[in-house]
Amino acid sequence: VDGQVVRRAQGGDSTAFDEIAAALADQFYAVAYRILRSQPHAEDAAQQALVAVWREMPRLRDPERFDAWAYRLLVNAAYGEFRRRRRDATPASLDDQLPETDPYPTIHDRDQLERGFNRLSAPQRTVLVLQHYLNLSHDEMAQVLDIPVGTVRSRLHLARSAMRAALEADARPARKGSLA
Amino acid sequence: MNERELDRLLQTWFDLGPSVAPPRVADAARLEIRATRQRSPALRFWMMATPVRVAFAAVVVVTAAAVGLALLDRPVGGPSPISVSPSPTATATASASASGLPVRGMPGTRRSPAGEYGWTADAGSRTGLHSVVEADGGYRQTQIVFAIQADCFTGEGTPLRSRVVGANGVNQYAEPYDAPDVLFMPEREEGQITGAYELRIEGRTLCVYLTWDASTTEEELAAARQVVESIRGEAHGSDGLRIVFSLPEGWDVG
Repeated sequence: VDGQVVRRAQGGDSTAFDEIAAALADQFYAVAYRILRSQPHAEDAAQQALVAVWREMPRLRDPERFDAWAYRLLVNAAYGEFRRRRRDATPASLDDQLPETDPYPTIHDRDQLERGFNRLSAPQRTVLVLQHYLNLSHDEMAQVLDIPVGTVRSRLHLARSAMRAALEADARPARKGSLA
Repeated sequence: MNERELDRLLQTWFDLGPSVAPPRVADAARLEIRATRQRSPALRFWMMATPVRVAFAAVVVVTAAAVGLALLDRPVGGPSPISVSPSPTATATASASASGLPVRGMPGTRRSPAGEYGWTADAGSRTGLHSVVEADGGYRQTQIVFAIQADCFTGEGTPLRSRVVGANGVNQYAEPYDAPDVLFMPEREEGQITGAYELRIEGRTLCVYLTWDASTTEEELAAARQVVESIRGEAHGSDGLRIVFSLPEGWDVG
């Protein structure tokens, strides 16, 4: 997002915020969906994060660091939705299912990935998404999450171990179209 | 499974999800920020440059010492030396809420001037205002009703899903909305249409029902929508709300 637009929005210019919302909405939603695995909750998280960006914007000291700051607000909103989803125990909707025609991963792998991912905490899910979807480095993840790099590494290690365990839990009786 | 296989599997799996947000996400956010005040920039002591921090701390210490000495110097138990009457400034600030949103009243009963108006009320309250334009021997009107209640879309048989902006009960807009209690006038007239807004303000809900006649012009409807978009609000009391909004000339409470 352009620094000038950020400064205008910091001054209360709602048309500047409209530009920011247009630029962020897709990415916010995509990241929130991958953390929450639910379209309605991802919509809520993305919307809440956009409003938080507007509300908190005057407190952003360095507009050049807007992206990391904005993603931090998104992650916080996703954590809130994650807690709410756990509390409400909302099952994933049919809309959340991935298309059947995608060749990789196999349906079996997807089931295992979903199952493994569902067992992860919100912070563990988040580091996986930041690494594998946004392709952020450990340093960038630490900046977004406002935690030490060592904590990022340990969270990643735990999350990856859990996902590997989920994938290897079965003997893979129907493992076709392997990635290897 | 080695590390590379796991990386590829995770990456491919994450790439499969949606990457485009439904338009209502940004639309609802845009709507909500119209009723959301930005926070003021915080003065962060530890983020100041060291010399500024030292100077700031010195000023605080000196001021505290001066106030302490003045208090010690005061006669104990005696009458206050000066009787201070409320100053004009104090009177003016009495009309502002603790968190800064000004306290404004509703417009008058006959064609009020343009300006900023407002409403402060508890949950369960409702009020309304309208703009009446005489035309062709009759009249046409645009109405706005405010209500503080948990659910803005309780009318029976209302096509809530037809044109909703927002997500999951937050900042929704439904049109047409048909319920008699959302009208400023008691009965719906032929051709009248209502759009219902649900605005979330600091965890509470303000329902805004905008009703217009079949003969209402595009300009009049656009002006009424601007009134809705100008609403700013904050929590008031245990369950109420305080709002302020801008009106063009000619609106009144009837």
